[in-house]
Amino acid sequence: MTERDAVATLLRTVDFLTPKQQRLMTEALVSASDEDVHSIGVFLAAYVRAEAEDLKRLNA
Amino acid sequence: MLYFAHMKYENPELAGGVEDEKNQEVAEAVLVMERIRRLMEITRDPVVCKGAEAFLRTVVNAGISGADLGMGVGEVLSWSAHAAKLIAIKFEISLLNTTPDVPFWVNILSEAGEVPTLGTASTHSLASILQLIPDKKRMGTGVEKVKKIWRGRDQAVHTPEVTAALETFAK
Repeated sequence: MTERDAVATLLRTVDFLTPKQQRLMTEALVSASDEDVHSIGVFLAAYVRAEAEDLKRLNA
Repeated sequence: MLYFAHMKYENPELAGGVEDEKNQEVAEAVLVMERIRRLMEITRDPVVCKGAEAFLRTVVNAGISGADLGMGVGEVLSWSAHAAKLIAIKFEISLLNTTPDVPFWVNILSEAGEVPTLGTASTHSLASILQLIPDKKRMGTGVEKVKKIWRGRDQAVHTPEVTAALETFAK
C-alpha cells in the first residue's frame, strides 16, 4: 500500500473528522508533498494504533 | 467525538517506576469509565429498549399461555390480559398491552376455543405466537445493537485495510 493510500484509509478511520473534513483532507492529499504525506501518516497511524490497543484492552 | 478525550493518561509502557504504577491506575480507571459509558449508552438506545420490551412481552405471554393450559388461574390471567389490552388501547398505555401487533378481535375470538375443549386449551397461545413473529425480529435487532455499542469502534479500527495502512507507517 502506498503512503498516500494508507493516509487516505487512516483519514476515513479516525473519529475526530466529519465526513466533509475527511473528503476535503483526502482531496488536499493529492497536491501534498511526499514528506508531508509521510508526516501526516505517522501522526494518524499513532492515533489509530493507540485507539486499536485501547479497544483490544476494553474488549478483552 | 474523541474517545477518552476527557481523560488524559500516559502510555504505561513508556513510563517507569512509581509513575508507571500511577499511570496504570489512571489507565484502568479510564477503561472502567468507558465501559460504564457504553452501558449507559446501551440502556438509553431506543432500538435496544424496543428489543428489551419485546423480550419481556415474550416472557409474559409465554407465562400466560402456559398458565392458560387447563382450567383455573390461567383463565383469569388470559382475560386479565385482554382487559389490560383494552385499557392500553383506550388510554394509550403501551406497557399494559402484551400483544400490540395483534388485533383485539383475534384475542377475543381465540377464546372461543375454550368452549369445545372445556377450558383446557391454551387459547392465549394464538395471540402469543402472532406477537412473537415481529418481536423475534425486534429482539434480534436489539441484541445486534447491544453488541455494536459494546464493541465500540472495534469494527471500524480492526479491519485489514487499516492494519495494512498502519504497517505502512510502522516504526
